[in-house]
Amino acid sequence: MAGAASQGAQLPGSSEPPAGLDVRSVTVRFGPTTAVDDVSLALQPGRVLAVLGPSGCGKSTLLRAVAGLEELAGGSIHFAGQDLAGVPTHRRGFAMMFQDGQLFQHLDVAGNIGYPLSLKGIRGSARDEEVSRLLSLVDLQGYAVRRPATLSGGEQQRVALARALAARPRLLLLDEPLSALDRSLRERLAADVRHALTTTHTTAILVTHDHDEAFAIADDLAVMRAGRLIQHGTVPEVFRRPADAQTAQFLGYPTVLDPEAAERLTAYLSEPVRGQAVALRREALRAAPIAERDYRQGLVGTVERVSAARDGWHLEVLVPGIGRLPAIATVDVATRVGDPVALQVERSDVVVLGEGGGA
Amino acid sequence: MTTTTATATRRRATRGTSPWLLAAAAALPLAFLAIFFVLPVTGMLTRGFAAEGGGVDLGGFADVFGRARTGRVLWFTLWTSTVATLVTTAVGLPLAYVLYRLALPGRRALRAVVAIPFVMPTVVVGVMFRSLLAPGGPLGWLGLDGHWAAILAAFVFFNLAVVTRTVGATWEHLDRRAEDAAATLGASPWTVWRTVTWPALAPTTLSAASVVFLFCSTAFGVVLTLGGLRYGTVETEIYLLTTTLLDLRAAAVLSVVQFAAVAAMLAVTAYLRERAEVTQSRSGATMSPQPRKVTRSAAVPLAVAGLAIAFLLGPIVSLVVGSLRRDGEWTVANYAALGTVTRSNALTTTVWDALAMSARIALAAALLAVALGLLVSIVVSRRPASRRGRATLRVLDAVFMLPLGISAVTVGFGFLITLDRPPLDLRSSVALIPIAQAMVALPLVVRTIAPALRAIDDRQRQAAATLGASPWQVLRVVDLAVVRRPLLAAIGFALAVSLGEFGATSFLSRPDRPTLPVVIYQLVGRPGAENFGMALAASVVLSVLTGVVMAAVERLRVDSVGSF
Repeated sequence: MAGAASQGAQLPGSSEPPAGLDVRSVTVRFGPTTAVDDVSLALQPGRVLAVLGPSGCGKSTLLRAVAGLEELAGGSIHFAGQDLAGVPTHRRGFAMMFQDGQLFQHLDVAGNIGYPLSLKGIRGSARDEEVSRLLSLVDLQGYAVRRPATLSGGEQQRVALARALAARPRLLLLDEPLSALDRSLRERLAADVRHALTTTHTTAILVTHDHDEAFAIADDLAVMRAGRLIQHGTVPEVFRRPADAQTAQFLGYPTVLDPEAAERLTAYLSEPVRGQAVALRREALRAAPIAERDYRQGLVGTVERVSAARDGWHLEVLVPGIGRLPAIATVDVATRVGDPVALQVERSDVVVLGEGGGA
Repeated sequence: MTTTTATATRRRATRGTSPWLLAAAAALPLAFLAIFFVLPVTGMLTRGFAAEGGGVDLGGFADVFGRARTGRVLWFTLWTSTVATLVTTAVGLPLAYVLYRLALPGRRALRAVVAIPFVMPTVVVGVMFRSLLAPGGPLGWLGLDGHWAAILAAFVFFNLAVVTRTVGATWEHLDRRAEDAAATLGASPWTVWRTVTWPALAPTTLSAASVVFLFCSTAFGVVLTLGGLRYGTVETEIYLLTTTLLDLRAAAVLSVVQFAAVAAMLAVTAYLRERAEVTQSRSGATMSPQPRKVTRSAAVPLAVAGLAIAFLLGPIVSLVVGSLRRDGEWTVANYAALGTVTRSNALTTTVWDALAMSARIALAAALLAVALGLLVSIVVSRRPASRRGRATLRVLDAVFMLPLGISAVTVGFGFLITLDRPPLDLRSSVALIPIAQAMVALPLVVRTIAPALRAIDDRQRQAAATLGASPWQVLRVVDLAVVRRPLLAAIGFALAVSLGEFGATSFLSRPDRPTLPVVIYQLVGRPGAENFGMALAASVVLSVLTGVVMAAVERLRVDSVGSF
């Protein structure tokens, strides 16, 4: 048990069987390929877990296995202490929202949202009231009689979310709910999804390959790669301590340095990093015009590329002994390709890999 | 608020192709249709109205409808077709589920088994059921020889492929995640079927059912061999009136009635098919639908499918066994007799000669049907920008479907009475048979090729055009590349259908050079176990040939073959 906890397979400090979802050593195979390989996860009631990973890493399969749509080749899934083996999908109470909504084309919006209500025997005015309450929750008042085909992608996903919530699921499963949408819509809708989940106190698992989406919606984060669980913890825990270089890159860190380069980079700081790899946020290095003393005690380099960005200049700087590093400069700093610059390291934007919770 | 789905873009109209090019492509098949279909059929139909010495005379209708026999025939046609359609659909749906939706080992082979009856020559199907149900046959104790139930069973046998393949092709590509979504929302498997799957399949199912009804109500060979003199449908009645009673006027009146009914049904079918295309949400390219694992919940469909397969294989096995027996002994005498012309079988050629004749004619018919069918498919799969253009194409599409529903007897006899004088004195020409068979196969060819062309994203053509391809090159690079396999499949399908064609051929076949189905029909009609045994052996030979052709077609894995 202690070994498993140190590998980050379970939430830190959870030794008792959790009241919410408990996924134990789940394996799913498709013929010779192992899509999900010995994955263990736990999720407390009321929390939202994001399973993050590149496409094809098995995260959607894991979600479908939780829903009872895929057979387990090994392991077990428990919810509220009950083993779900042999419980068919429709008796689990886990509503699933699909990447492309999967709205029923032959029903209108109200018919779609009312579908799970009818299954529970809720009819007539009670059903209508609930449908309009859910429509306003997803900000789609007046859409009741529209056909799904006449809605935009974002509207379809809102309806899909409302339909899933209408089932009052014990656990909501979101399979790449925003991936099919364009960026600005995705950001707006992510906030709406978070709002809808928290106001309804819904326990949910979100599967996504987009770290921004995960950060915006989830409380907990599980990182998957090639069918295996790499890291699991709260969002801040995982974000501050990516388990390895690939995870760091997947979490949006543009730069990862090996221990040697990390030591050179942090050599001038009060707490230098020794013998550990690090990941850098874009803001980790700030470029400034070079001064005499920088040559003696500081990090210097040559600007190789300059481009304008919302928050100033984005530079690429060649640092002797380390290599090419991204850096930022404020708008008032006039830099050109070939200029020497001094680099200041923000320690808080440099994270050590695998420290503590990582595997 | 606009729909920005890929389908919307794809449905956007073609602007590139010149209407003149399309008109030219349509002209040849249209001319063929006019001369070899419309002319004979109208020639036949006008016999029903033409008064002595010119003018229109509708007296024929009153006369024909006044006969008690007409009412009996109409009623029999109607109720047998309805019952057969209902049974076929009820059995075909679970069969489609099992063969297209479940990960059943050997399902490809089973799909081929289901397809066999559809291309089996109708005469052979008739012979088969006779061999099964005749006194002394394996099921002789049922006493169903010459019973209407035998006709009904043969209808189901023959048409199960239509429902199974049509619905199966749709079902296989239906996005299973819609069903998954319903299940996660709490719907039981039965509720999922009722509220999600059935609404998506209903238009296709109705469309297939209406085609089955069409086939049943215009069936000829099966009814002629199984019904004898006791039971007749409109189609066999037309045959009887024309050939035996020489009452051309009455035959024409019945043909007109049949034509009106068929045209109405074709319109309904076209409407249903259009709806079927709209309501199907097919799974996207990103996720290929995987068949479901076989579980206990599939027990009922599996049982129905098992019985259906047994029902399909039973007559076939009985046919093969019967062909290998004579006077209660195992023997190959029936096959040995295929090379003989004796006084007892009274044939004009050996069965092998007839087979060679059938093969030559079928090959010519298939090539003609596919050449014309390809042109028709290219034209009807376009999406013109103008409303008028679209309407024109819809009409064209329907016109080329007409041969599907017109009585082959009417076509065959129409050939005889209209193409008998200069400039088209073809009555004694052998070329008439392949032409008539090509007309019968044409709708099936179009149904096989056109869906593949319709499925091409129009932007592919636009991309080719922007890269400098001329309309002709676009056709070659985009359309023909996609259509190669369906084209091969269509040739095979037309070949199989032509090999077994009986209705029109029975009129046109020359006594000294009959085709194999005609010979089989002659053999069934002659007395003696020897002749019946020969008919069985000849039926096996013909079925093996069509079976081999269809097996080759099946290997091409073109979904649209035999689906409507």
